[in-house]
Amino acid sequence: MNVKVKLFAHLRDGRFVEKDMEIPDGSTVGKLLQLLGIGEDEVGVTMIDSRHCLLADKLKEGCTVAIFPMVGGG
Amino acid sequence: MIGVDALRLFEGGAISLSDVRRIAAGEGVSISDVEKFVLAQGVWPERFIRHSGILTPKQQLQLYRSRALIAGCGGLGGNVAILLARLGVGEFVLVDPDRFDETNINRQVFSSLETVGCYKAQVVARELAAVNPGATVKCITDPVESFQFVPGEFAVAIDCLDSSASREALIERCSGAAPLVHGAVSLGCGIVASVSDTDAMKGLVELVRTQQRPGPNSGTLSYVPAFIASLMASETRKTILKLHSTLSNSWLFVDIDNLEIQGPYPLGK
Repeated sequence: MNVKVKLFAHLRDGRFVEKDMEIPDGSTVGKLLQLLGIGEDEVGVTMIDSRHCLLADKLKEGCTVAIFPMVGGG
Repeated sequence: MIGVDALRLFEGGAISLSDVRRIAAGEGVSISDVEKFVLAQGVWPERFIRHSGILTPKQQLQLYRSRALIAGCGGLGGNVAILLARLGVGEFVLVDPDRFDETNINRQVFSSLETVGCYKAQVVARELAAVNPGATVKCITDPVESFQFVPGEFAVAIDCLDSSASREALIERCSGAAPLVHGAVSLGCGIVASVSDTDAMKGLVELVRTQQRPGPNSGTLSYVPAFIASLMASETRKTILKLHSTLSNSWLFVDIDNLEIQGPYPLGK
């Protein structure tokens, strides 16, 4: 299936800003991170079609996935 | 306290701190009492006169009467605290069990070679007093988890913490009790959120849980907490004065080095 992936800040380094990707049907957000070579400990908020999601959530054809880096310091 | 006719004598509608101190001493009241009185009459304490045209004296008085809880007095908290003190917030409770160490100097505004080893909350309290002698500041050098408060005790709570567990504890305390402005930083990025309703606070808890990681947080640069703290101070002002905010019950992602802001995204349902 085809999904649009948006990366933010340093997650773009060596990758891309926004890209249409062909990924296996039934892939989860976590699977997408694996395909992108992004460690789960680098990731903070993930969103599917501008709604918060979990790494275990499945992606659907044509959806937009946004991946933000972890931001927890003060 | 002071006759309205006497107030007209203050040039440009402003009264200096030295005149305030003189009146306070004469009347046996506090600086805060005098300044709240003159603001109610439309006269500005001189250190806030540059707010004229941006705030009304009534809004300045509202800030002066407001109590803010600042949890965390490091990179974000120190910056937020001094910005709010200069804005004229009149009461602060600063909560931070930590002391400054050398690793803080690159980004925590009140860390210096002189303050290494000192409690952060106490150092920040001294700095607030130096710019706003009418403010009341209380320091708590215990973790936020040990701190309880009742609804209405604070006009706003400000999350400048650095652990997901502590942030979650603060949000739980705020739910139904106080609106919350949240901030976080890492590398060249930051997050700001402003929440007042219970549903949005649950959404913020979900967001905060995504930031859990083993070990210490990533580092950041000097200007990152300063920038995010400025946004937090702006949201705090709007919260206290009950002004409209596009960030209401939402969060924002800021990539400072790439000059990008994403959002606001709603929190909760």
